This record gives sequence, C-alpha cells and structure tokens, in this order.
Amino acid sequence: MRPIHLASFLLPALLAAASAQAAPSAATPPAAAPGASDAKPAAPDAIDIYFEVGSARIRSEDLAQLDHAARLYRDGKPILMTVAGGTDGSGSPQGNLRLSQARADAVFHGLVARGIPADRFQILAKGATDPAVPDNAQDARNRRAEITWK
Amino acid sequence: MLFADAVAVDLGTHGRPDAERAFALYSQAAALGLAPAQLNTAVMLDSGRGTRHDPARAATYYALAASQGIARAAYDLGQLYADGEGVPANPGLARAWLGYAAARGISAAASRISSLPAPPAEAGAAPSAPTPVLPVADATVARQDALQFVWTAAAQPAPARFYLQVASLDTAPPHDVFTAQTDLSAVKGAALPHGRYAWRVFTVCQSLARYAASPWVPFSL
Repeated sequence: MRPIHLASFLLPALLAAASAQAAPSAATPPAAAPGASDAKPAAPDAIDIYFEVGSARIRSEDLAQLDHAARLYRDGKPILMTVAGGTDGSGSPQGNLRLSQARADAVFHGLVARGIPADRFQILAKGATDPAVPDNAQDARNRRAEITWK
Repeated sequence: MLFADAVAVDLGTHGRPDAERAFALYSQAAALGLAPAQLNTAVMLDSGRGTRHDPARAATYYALAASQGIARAAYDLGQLYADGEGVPANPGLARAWLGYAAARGISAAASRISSLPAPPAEAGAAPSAPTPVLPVADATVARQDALQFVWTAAAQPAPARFYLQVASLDTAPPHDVFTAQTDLSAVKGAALPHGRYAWRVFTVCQSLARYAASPWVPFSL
C-alpha cells in the first residue's frame, strides 16, 4: 500500500480544517425516558407529554419524548399521527378547551420541527373530557398531550 | 418499485401489515442505495419494529440516508452520537450531524446543538483513529451510482475532521481514486468502475497538528 505523505494530503486537510472551524415540577409526572440500550422495549403504542398547571409549554426534559416520537416515524408510516391535548378538571370548560388546544399545538409544532410532515397530523383538543385518570380529575397525569399513530 | 412494495407491505395496503416482511424489503432497497429505504431501515432498527432493536446498525443506516441528504436521518444520527447510543458518544460528530440537519430544515436541531457539551479544550492527548463500518473488509459491493462510506469515531481531544482515502488496487503502485474531507462520519463518493479497491479514513486534529488513520479496508466492486 502506498505510504501516506503529509504533503500529499494532510497539510491541505489541516489547512482546510483550520478554515472551517430545568428541574421537573414535583407536581408534574416525570418524563418517561426513552430506552437507551439493547434492552430497549418494543416501540410504544402511545407517548404522553405532561404539562405544568395552566401551561402549554413543553418542559425541557420532555423534548427527549418528542425526539422519541419522531424517531418512530418512517417514510410513509404511520399514515396519521394524532396529538390529543387534555387538561385536569380545574378551570372552566372553555378555558380547558383552549388550554388543551394550545398543548396539542405545542406538541404538533415540536414534531414538525423534527421533520414529521405537517399533513400527517390530526390535532384534537379534549379539554377535561377524556382524563387519563378518570377517578381523580385533578391528577397531574391529566395535564397531557397524547401522541398516537396508525 | 421495491420501495413502493415495501411501503405497501408496511401499511397493509393489500392485506395485513407485516412489519417483518416490510423490514426485509426496506433492507433490500437500502442495499441498492435508495435513501428513503435506508431511513426506514434505520427507523425500524432504532425502534425495534419489524426487527430486533439494534442501535449500532440503526446508526449505520441513518448515516447512509443522511449522506444522501435525508435531514431527518441526520437529526436522528446526531442524537445517537450525543447519547452514545449504538455509536461512541461523540459531541463533535453529534454537533456536525445536527448542524447538517439544521441546515436542511430540521429546526429542532439547533436547540439540540445548544445542549451539547462545549467543544473540547486543546490538550496534549493524541486523536484516535476512526473505525471503518461500510464497506466491510473483503466485501463485494453491488455497483451503485455512487459508493457510500460510513465510519464511527470516539470523542477527540480537540476539534476534528475526517479525511477519506479510496485507492485502486488494480494498478501498481496503488493510487488514489477518490478522496474527501468532512466533519461528518459518512460520505457518498464518486461512481467507480468494477475493480479491487481499499479505503481508510483519518481523524485530523488541525489544532494539534496530529492525525490517526484507520486500517485499510479492501473491497471489490
């Protein structure tokens, strides 16, 4: 094999290289960290993003959940991703509807920012009508946006 | 056609969805160099759908798709390098792939870059050689429009680039037929005629005036 000479490529390469050169709320469920090893379970059927009281802002620790959801999307499948926003039972029905819409929109925009085509989404605002924990309307797990797909 | 068949099987357009069969068809199309099939193969390996979860192979297919301009593959590969999942943790390569994705419209990549560790301080340590991945040693590669090269690399003691060298073994002495410099860990090279070749890749730390080379990897077209 031909020896490598600095003058033949390394110096140009070096020159070219030179030129180139929040903590979760205790009242809010923690983000479920996606698996990071060979023991990673099969892909889930749904991913939940949780929110602070009255907020539609995605917490920094939940950005990994958005990445996790985006990494399930292959070219052509799923045909449809549904993002359903929800709230807990506090507040007025009108306010909860607006808040759940804002939560779904935040997740939708986060997924589009990760390259998922916008025309593959269905966005639902459920207010407090479809709680994750029906027995406790104030449960923090009801303040969520649920991502599902088919 | 193969890719369309794979998508139909994946979606169940003509019957029950069959993820395992779809994975097999995507893999065949990926071997022919079809970028969307390389992405889908990567996603299925990454998520464990239709096949066993294998982040190392997922990283390879993400790299193949990304080097053909698939931005989402670059974003996903950047995450694997950031987290050290299936590849060595390498903030430099994470930054490079995420930057590549950001430049191609993945707006979330910019914020992900800002969460990476700062570039390494200049130090006396020597760079380490990359690990060649594709083509594998002694492989006979199906001829494509442009051959693809993939490697991995550990975090380096200083900002690093890579230098790819492909030599023909059918001449005496062997001579370079393709070279490239990149911040990334994959290159889509020029079309080459049938013959015997070898490739290797260097880590080049300009600020340290140091480099490290992988072994030569022989292959045929």
